[in-house]
Amino acid sequence: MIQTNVTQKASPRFRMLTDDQVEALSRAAMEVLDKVGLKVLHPGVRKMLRSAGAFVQDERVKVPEHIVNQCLTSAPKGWVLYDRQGRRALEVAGRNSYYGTSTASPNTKDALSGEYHQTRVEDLALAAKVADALENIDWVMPMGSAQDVPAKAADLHEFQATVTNTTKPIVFLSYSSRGAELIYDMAAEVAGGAERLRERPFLVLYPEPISPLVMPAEVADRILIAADRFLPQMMGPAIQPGATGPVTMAGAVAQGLAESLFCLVVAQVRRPGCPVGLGCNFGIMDMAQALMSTGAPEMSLALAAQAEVAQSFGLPTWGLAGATDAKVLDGQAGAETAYHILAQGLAGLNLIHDVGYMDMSMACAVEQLVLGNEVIGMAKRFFSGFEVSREHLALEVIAQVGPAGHFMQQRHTTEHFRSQLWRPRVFTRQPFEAWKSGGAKDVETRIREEIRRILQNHRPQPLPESTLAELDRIKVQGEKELTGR
Amino acid sequence: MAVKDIYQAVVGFDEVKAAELTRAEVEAGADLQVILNEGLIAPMDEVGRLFSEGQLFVPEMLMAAQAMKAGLAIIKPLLAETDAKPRGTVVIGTVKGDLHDIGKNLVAMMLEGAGFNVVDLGVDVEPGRFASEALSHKADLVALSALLTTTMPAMEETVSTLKEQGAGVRTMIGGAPVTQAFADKIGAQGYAEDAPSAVELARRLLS
Repeated sequence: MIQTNVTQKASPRFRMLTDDQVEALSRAAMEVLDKVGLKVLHPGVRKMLRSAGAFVQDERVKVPEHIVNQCLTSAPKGWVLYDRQGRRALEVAGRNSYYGTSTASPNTKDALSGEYHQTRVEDLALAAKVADALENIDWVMPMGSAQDVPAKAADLHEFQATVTNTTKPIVFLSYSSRGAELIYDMAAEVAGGAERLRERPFLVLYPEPISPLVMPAEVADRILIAADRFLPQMMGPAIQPGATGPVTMAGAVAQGLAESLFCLVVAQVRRPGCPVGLGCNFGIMDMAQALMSTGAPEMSLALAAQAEVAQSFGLPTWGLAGATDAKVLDGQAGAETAYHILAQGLAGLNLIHDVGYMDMSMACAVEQLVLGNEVIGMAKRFFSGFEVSREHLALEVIAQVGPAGHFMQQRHTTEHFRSQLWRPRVFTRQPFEAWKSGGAKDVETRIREEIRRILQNHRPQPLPESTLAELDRIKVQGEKELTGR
Repeated sequence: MAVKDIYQAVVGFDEVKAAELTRAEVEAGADLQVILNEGLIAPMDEVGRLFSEGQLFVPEMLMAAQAMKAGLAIIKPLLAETDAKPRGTVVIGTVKGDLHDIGKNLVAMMLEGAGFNVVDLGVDVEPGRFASEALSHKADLVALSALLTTTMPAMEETVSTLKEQGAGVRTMIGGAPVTQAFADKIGAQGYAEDAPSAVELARRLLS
């Protein structure tokens, strides 16, 4: 056998759907857009879509396939995300997986005491600092919904706290269209101008319509705001199978695709070529409590399928992992965290968010973020696979060591062990007696210590004084405007 | 005998049969209170029991409630006002500025299934409208829902409007960002974390 062009790297990945199934889901989404359409509560967007060739009757907008296809053609097949310093950070395309934090929770599980309390702006600052230090957290979202500031302007406080304490790329919600504009002003200040921000975007807007098939005016406004600035946006419709979408996963995926595609159409018609993602969320509703779970196994199943269809269009994808329904850092937290982080990385979802959610997305928890970071480390090691090469087959080393020898003192081992073997930050590998005499600490205790260590030792890159002052000015002015005071 | 069949139709989630059999029993001259209590309310109590035991789930409860409602639609106009004895009238809606409604819809459907008369005002409801509807329907309870933290002030405004306009009605609130502390702060009589507890709360408040 003659071998040329040998593939050296072996890494695991999976595919869920056959090509026919991808096609079937894609056709189903097109049919929903064409025959059912969305209720659009923004008169300007209805008018815009009508001019583009959509069928509009009262508030209902139906989009024929050729318009969707035009928009799929104009949408770029991926984006580069930079960090706050303008350095290249993430290639949001293909099957590159990056993990990000949770967001928008009314409650926080305190980073230092572990107690649940209402979210405060200082919790977000602290969480951003820890996220900045964690090697496997690639990007962030403001980690909570601050309850100690006026609700209408909370997003300004939250963004300020986040961008001040980490250089990692930020995905943000905003609570109003004006809020989104003000946050973009803040980001432009940080980047050194709006044009510079456009060239090296470090933030992504995240608009979320209401399932099933409703686009509120305020969500449409935000899509337009990001499109006009030619800044990346990741659509995030959230379907709850059995409640706001079909309970059968295929139907939920089809509807989710339709809703996300609709957002993409609005963006592309407004500004052809603007960077967009085809994201989706599946919040599996527990049928005994009628509450949304973030740990249910079906979630990754639906996300993986939705992503494969999005990947067939060449579009960036969105995931949800590192979240738990557990209220404490126990076995359930471990299991749910591991399951979804691994599944979605294997499925190649691009921006996988919500690392840090506890209590069914009701609280952001730094301890869960640290646990998630640990598991992502293991998962990334799995995804990176290994090399099948002469060097790695190590036949010469095996022959040299021979029967009953050992490899510990081999140069080959010294050269390769750091890259071959993952090291835990917080998981224990101590022998029992040492663990016992060290205080018999469980993982929650060790994580709490690690959080303290990070907070004591890690200094995020500070922003220049002038930038900090300007961010503050925008926030104060913005709050006056948004609250009318 | 046939009232038992109405019972079976409700626990079997068959709304067409529940309506047909109810009509048949009415035409046969059966006692309306017996049809109501043994044919329509009793099966819902059984469904409720099976639900709390974890044998039936929310979608099934809602299907049974739909069948019960179909039967109830037949006899309700025939029952004298004093005989009707619903558990109470609840006006429900999502507050001003908020368009999210799945939670509110679930609570409304489960309250109906539990025998309450429910008036659903939809989403983005002005405080003034909650008040006028509560008065015109002689509501015993007003239930408010919100998903967005930015719309929680509208809950506070609605509760005070209800007090001001003399509706004198009790209020309960719910939704992801809502808490007991917030309910206490704005003077609502109750807060529920999920749809089944909302029904329990309504029962307690109106008992």
